[in-house]
Amino acid sequence: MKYFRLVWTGLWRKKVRTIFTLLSIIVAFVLFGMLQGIDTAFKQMVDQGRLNVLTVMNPAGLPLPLAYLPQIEAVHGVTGATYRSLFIGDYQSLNNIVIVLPVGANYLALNSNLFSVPPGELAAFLRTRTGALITPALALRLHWKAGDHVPIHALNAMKKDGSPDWTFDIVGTFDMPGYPSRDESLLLMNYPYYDTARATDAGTVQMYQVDIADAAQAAAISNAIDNLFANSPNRTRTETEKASAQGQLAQIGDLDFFVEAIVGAAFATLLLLTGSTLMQSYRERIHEFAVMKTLGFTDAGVAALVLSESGVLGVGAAALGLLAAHLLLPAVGRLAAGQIPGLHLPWIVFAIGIGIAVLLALASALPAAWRVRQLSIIDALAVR
Amino acid sequence: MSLFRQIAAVVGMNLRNLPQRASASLVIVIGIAGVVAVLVSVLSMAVGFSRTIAGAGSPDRALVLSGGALQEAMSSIPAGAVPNIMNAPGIAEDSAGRPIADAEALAQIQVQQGSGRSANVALRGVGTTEPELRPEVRLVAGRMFQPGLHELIVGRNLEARYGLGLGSHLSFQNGDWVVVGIFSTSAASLLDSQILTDAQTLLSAYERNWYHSMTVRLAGPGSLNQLKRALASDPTLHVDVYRESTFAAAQSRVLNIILRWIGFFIGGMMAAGALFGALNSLYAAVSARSTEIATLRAIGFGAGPVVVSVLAESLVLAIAGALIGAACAWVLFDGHVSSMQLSGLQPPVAYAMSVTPGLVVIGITWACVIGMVGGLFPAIRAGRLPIARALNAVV
Repeated sequence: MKYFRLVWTGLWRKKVRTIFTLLSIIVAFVLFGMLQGIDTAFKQMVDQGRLNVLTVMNPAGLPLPLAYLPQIEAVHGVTGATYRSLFIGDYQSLNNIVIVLPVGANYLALNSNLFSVPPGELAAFLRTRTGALITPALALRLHWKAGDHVPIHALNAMKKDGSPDWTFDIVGTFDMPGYPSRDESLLLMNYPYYDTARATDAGTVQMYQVDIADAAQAAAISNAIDNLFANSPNRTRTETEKASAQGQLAQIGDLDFFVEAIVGAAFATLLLLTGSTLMQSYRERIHEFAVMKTLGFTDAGVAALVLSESGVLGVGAAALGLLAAHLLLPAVGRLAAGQIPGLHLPWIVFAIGIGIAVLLALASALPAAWRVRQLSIIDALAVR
Repeated sequence: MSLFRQIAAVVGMNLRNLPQRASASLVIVIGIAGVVAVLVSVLSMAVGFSRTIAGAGSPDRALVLSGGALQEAMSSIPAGAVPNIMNAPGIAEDSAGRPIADAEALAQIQVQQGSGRSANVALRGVGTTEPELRPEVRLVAGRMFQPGLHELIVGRNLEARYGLGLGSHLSFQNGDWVVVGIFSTSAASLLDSQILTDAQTLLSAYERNWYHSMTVRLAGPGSLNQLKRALASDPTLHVDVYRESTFAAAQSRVLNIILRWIGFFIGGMMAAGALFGALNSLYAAVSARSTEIATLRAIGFGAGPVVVSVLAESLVLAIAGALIGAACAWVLFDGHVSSMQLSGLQPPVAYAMSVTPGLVVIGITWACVIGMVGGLFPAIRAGRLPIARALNAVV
């Protein structure tokens, strides 16, 4: 610690240069933090997928008959089954998009760990045919409260009377405890209201959710369900919630590749910049190092000094950059309109970032440190 | 010596001794090459993707969707409504006097990817007037499917990606379907990532009685409004009519904006990093050359030529970096086939990243701005160097 002042002074020998180097490292780590944060948020969607919950969908991207429910419930190993559909609507303008989930009566009971609804509001929802539960974010944004009567203009759900306008009675809000910063515009409605009023596809659902007792039986139960409907015009594709999330993520595109390529390019460039700056600084201080060695500093001591300077600079800048990424990520989440739930900088990314900073700092200072270590006092002092 | 000749002499001298400062110069070149490579690559995704999506649209065709639907996948048109739309005014007719119009149905099927994973692919059922409706769809191998049989023609992107060659079999909806043709579109298009079959055959396989959309060929320039008016005045229909090219372009607009934003944001951050690097190494270059600069000033060269020489060095290095970066992006990614989803409702669309001359120009422009800003302050310092002190100072 007693050498810290020496390291610190060495670092600020040329203020402008140090500030510019600092800024370029900060920039690289802001990029790293934000890209990894977004990447992690996508991966978390997969991690949150449950292994003891199966989803049953139509591989053709079409709805499935509601009549499948009793057959699915009767499959051995199934402890519960429910269903939902989905349509997209807007409130007054396309700026207020609302995702509407018509859910079966037992949907909230089976997903009590995902959606937390106060018992009174749940009872009111199940009692009120046109009742709706909304996310607190939606309530805040559109100024809706329990007792309000609100119209939603559906974009892909026409009613029998030819109108796309659905009216709901707000009965309460629900929290999604598993998703810390989820800013989603979800509205839950009762399935019977949706199914009797809509113009097309009555008696069908978009997906079934099946709870099973033993996650190890997931593959066998999935096959049993798919075999039930193998010869019907509406075949099923059953997989765990996790596999389903993975499949959806794989469809988005080659995200990982681009994140890694960009971060790689940024870091390679950075290593080069910092390395050359440190070499410059070393060349200017050949005399000083020779004097220090004359005063009794060991070879290893001066080399350690050079490495520490670089380490303090690299780790300090990386911490600042990661902090900036941490502050910026929620703003990106808002821009993405809740499309990327749970956007934040996880501790693990922070730790990896600091680790990379240490490695980068050491790697870029290594040539300079080596030269300082090998420096012969007589030659160095002779250079004029 | 005239100012111009002074500038030429100092700039020439400075550029000729650049190789002696190779390692410091390399920092600027590589830093800027990194910025330009990343910027151009991300933008080439945006260009390639929107080209592919827009490629499916033609100004000569109109798309009819159910009212309020934002995408084909959201739309539904009951079979009963098809004749009303088909017989509306404004639709071109073929030589036999039939309207050139197709009711089309979509479905998704799973195909095996190499690693044992399955991928979703869009299946589009089209009508019998398809050749007149979409003349850009040309068979490159095999023949057209026959209505009523479980036959498919496959877009060329899918043939390559999933090995769906002529004669391959696909099994879905309790049927065995055979690939009888491979098609390609004249320009890159969304259709190249789809499988086509007869719409009636598709509907009966899925036991459905509704289509997703209708596509019609417009008779003339004013026909779109004519068609819109006719369909709006029919009380049994609730549909929206779009010019196909406008609709297709609008489909990719949001994603295009997002990709550009990402490209400019990441490029901008990296540019800031490279700028700081350039400033550092040019300041160092100026201080390394301080004796030389002071000597030039002492023998009569003005401050102006010295400033210009530093700026010229910075610009030359920046442009070299930009060319290297753009070349890297071009070699690595031009024509690289990637895939992306237009929306959660549709299977991913294969598209080729496209490094266009326009993007290279954008890259060079960015590099010049970084070079100018990065060179300006060191250049000013070079111009203001106190001559006497610089000549006295040794190292």
